[in-house]
Amino acid sequence: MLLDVQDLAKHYVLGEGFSNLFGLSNPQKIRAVDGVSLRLQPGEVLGLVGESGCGKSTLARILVGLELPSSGALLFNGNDIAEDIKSNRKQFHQKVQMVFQDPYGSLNPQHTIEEIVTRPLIYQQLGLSKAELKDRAIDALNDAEMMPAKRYLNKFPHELSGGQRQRVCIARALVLQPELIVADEPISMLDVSIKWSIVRLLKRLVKERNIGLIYITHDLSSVPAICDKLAIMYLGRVVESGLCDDIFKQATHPYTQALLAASPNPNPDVKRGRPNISGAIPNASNIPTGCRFHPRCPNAQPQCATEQPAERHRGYHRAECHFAFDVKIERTKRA
Amino acid sequence: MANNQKEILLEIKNLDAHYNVDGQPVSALQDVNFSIQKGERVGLVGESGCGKSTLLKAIMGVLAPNAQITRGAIKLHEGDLLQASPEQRRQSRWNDIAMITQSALNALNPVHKIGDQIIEAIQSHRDVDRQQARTRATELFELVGVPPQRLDDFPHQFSGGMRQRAVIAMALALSPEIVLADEPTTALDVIVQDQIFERLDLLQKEQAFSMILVTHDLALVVESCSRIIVMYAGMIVETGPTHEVVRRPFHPYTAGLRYAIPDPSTKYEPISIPGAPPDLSQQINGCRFAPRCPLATSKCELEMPPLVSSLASDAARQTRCHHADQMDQSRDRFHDQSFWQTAKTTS
Repeated sequence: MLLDVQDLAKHYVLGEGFSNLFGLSNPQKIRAVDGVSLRLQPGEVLGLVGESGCGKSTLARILVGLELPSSGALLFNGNDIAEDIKSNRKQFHQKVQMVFQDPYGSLNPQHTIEEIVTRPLIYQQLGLSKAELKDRAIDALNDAEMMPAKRYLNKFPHELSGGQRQRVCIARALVLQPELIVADEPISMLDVSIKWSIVRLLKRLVKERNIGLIYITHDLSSVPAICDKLAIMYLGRVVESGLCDDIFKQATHPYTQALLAASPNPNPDVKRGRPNISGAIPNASNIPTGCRFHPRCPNAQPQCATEQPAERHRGYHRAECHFAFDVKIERTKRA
Repeated sequence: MANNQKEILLEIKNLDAHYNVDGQPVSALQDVNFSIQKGERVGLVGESGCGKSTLLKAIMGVLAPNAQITRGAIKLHEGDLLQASPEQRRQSRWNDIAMITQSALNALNPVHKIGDQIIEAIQSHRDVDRQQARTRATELFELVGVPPQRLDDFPHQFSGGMRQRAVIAMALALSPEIVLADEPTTALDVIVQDQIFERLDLLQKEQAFSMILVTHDLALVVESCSRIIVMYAGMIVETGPTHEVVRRPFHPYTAGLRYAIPDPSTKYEPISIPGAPPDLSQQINGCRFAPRCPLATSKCELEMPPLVSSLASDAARQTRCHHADQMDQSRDRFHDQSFWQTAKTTS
């Protein structure tokens, strides 16, 4: 098991600072990630899907060591690293790298592509000579399909297109030969016509090098073409998870069904119904009792307001809903 | 939404525009022609830099100072907006043509209550007192589905979806005939996007305004617009009834856009189009898509194709491609990534 996340939580406390000295504020707990468990094998792609505010980016930041979890276990190759990320950050980053959403904001505009791609190697103090660094950068750029790599070494980010910049970000992540890559919305800012070249690249790298990939997105339509497994997050918890195919064929959580129903379909011959839910995702400082989705759920029952649903499963397909796998909710049009 | 003999509301004729960048003209729009009928909903799709936002700004009359319209006309009810005085244009803005922008957060002033901003917009165009304007604002909030008591909130107290609704309310305040929507839901989550479009559908049915929806999301246009205009590098490359165009594209770029979107109902993998749009500070004589097009021939590199009827049976279908007549035989090949790789530039 490359990655085994067990009951991971990240709680922030607001209003604990200066104003609270005088008792003026009421500290509030924001439960951004509230008990998430995930597992990932090498060579697998796990899609992490949810709307803004669901905690998926906080989770990503914990997985790459940018934030420390409040509780829970984070096992990497069987070792719990939640505790010692802080002391062994350098070692950790050799194995885990991130690709960010914004290929414009995540590259230093004053550095050449060579400087950008060799940066992680220099940071790791591997004692490489200048020529070796350059060779590693060329290899990484070739791997990211920036060919011929030599042509790009002395260019600056502004000379590249959005797609090329995202390839540079991928090359920078690859240069340390990591075992896990966390990609946070890697294609959402790219033009439609080039998105899939980046997806194909990520997919090829994962399969060829047995890298684990966590693909974070709010766009379900991009998921089937890249992910093996899927986890749907809502208000800090994974509400449904399983094999991608199973979830797309037979989503059982009403929230997943709503997400699927809300995605516009490019095929004029397919008519979708509108999702049957109302309202928007509540604030993580004020999580509803019982099932956290119940205020928006079209088939909530009295028990949903009081009892937190236990996980139900069928094979690898899991969902946190009192009625998972029981009732088929019709995706009917709203009246 | 029938296309026959409806009243033409807005007509764009032979529009050329460019931006002056460091003293050099950079083409933004070239030879843009189309019209919008009363109550019609038209989707304008294309990628960043294709000129779709410039076109909307030109219609709204809010182009950047370094933009220049060098040719053409924008006719609203026969009168050319480009010939109107600045005062006439100011009057017409929001009254006749209103705009919904992409970022609702930037469209609203953070230090004024949302209700006050709507009231101010109404009073600056209509001779009504504050109470009457407030009544209208209340109506508008009910229309877009926000509780009217929230008129007294500041923009930061609204969620993203609610802010977008408030911006829609403001756009509809003066009952315009045309609403220009520039990526109105791009910053929002899919469920909220769906709620906003459901509301827009409803409002459009009730109030019968025309709408131009600018988006990069073809699926959204398929679901909500009767007609589609596809732009590439400042030019219209294909137009026609949305479903016809999407089912049977005659321009290779349209085919590329369509097949780049994952479609759960087909067996095909999405494709990507190799290369990038051309540098518009350079003079281009041929087809602007030719370097990325697998069907391109030497004729395409030398000669700009005209936007002409691509289907004898349907005059509304127009395509700007020398090889549109080959598309029926070769359309399926555009699903194949290796076919795209045969284009001249592959990077």
